[in-house]
Amino acid sequence: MMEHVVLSAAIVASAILAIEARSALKSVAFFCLTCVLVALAMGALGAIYVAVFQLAVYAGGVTVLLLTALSFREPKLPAKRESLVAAVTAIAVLAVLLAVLSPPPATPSSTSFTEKPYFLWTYRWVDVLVQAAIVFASVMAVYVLLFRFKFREG
Amino acid sequence: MFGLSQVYLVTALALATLGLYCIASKRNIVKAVIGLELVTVAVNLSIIALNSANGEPGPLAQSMAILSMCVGASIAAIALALVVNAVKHYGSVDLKEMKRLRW
Repeated sequence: MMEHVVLSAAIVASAILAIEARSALKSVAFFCLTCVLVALAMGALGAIYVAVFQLAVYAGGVTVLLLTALSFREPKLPAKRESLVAAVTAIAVLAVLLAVLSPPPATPSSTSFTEKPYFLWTYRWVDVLVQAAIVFASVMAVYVLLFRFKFREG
Repeated sequence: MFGLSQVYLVTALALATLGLYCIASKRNIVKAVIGLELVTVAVNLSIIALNSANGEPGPLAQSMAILSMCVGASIAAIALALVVNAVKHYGSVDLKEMKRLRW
């Protein structure tokens, strides 16, 4: 039990350092440390897969996004960005269509999560499809937010 | 006597409180985004801790935590895109200088 209390104290301490650090770069570094420690806590609680996702998404992806935002000055636009957007959209739509039109496995008799707690775990493609839609929408939103002014100029 | 899940629930509560304090008090907009992310991390930890009271967390809780991480990462991406736009527009990361966001 003592090691869990120490881990909890380390999580809270690194979060305080992330908030109170003078430099934004140090804040991001301590935020990354907080995410790693939270992943350790999730692993200690028995959720190994969630711990791996925590490491990949927060300690990896979100930290890199924060570092990118810190160093972001002027975006270097590709020469043919419209065709790039069209290609990405086409690939995403094709992937979603393939996922929807592919024959799903036998559906359970009841879809109640309380009666069938293994529903999302067994039928992961539903969950993954929802996550793909969320990620796609956010990528499109970020693209529009970052390059809106450039489109107006053009 | 506190159990394992109670210890991490208290940690999640502390993280959420720290995140809300950061959002409410800090003038640096990047730190506000870090506070937002701390709140989402606290929510994920509480989901796992609440469902591990009787041993390993169930698959539904793990699926929901992974979905919540996906939503949190999307929130971070959109918030940071807004931050980049605001910094380009106002030339500063100070939230007090962005008074024109008000009506």
